[in-house]
Amino acid sequence: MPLDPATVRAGDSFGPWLVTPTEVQLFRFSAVTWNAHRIHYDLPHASAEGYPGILVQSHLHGCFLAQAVLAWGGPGSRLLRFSWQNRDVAVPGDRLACTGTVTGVSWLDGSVRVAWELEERDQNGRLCAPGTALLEVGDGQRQDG
Amino acid sequence: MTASMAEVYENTRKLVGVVHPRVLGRIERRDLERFCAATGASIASPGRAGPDSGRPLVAHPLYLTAVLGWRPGPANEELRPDGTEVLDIDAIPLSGLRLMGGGQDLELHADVTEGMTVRSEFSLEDVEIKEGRSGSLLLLHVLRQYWDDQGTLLVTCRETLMAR
Repeated sequence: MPLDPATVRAGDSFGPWLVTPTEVQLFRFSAVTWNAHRIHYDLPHASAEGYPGILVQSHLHGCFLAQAVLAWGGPGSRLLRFSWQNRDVAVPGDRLACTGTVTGVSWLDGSVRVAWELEERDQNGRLCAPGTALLEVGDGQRQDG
Repeated sequence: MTASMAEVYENTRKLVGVVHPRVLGRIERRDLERFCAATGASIASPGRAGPDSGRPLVAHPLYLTAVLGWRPGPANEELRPDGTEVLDIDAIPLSGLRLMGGGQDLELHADVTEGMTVRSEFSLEDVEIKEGRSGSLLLLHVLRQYWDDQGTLLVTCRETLMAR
């Protein structure tokens, strides 16, 4: 659906953008980021540390939020600013839902810039990772999220 | 003997403002594709130069700041018992402490694309010592910036690392 900037207003929202991380995904993410921390692949170690399972990596939470808002923006969109915080843990099998709420809209050089507050929550509603994003949508296209 | 938290704090505080430059190396297409595969993202960021566009592949926006190690890394037996290694804060005397990330704040100035040679600078902006329920911890406020081989600033990353 074409983006009509006039229709994007503070308070608008997207989502939920859903993802269920798996053990294999965590292994591959640890490998590609050269992260050998055992809490991400060694269940006895993670359990001994007091965690309910091997943990979704901090940066993977960030990737999920980034991908969720980029999916809303669609072709031509680009993140200008992005932040997230890790508030609670997630483990493989958790059903994570990413949502976003528009906090501001501005124009610059023919592009619309949309500021977002983001949240990633698990299936029990626990807030795993809040975030913010400033997304530039350059070609007037977006996808419904 | 492991230094006390107060000693680590004092030693670390002396390094506030010291800039540590590093060449990370060439950004390889295969690594960008693997990162996207692992995260479940499109091969390129949605709408960016894709594999069939004839343009260089654009990295996932978190690629540079999510990769923890850019060097071959230590031998297995040199890793700490929890599998971690001291990464690009190896100039900071944290040996023996566990380091945890809590998120990042990124300014994405320009696209990171395949073929670039990227260099970075790391510095400690501030350090705090806090008393928590489970004992003392250090909060390390760090700044990382990344440039391409033309001197274009790509990413500014601020984050607070917890060491306990």
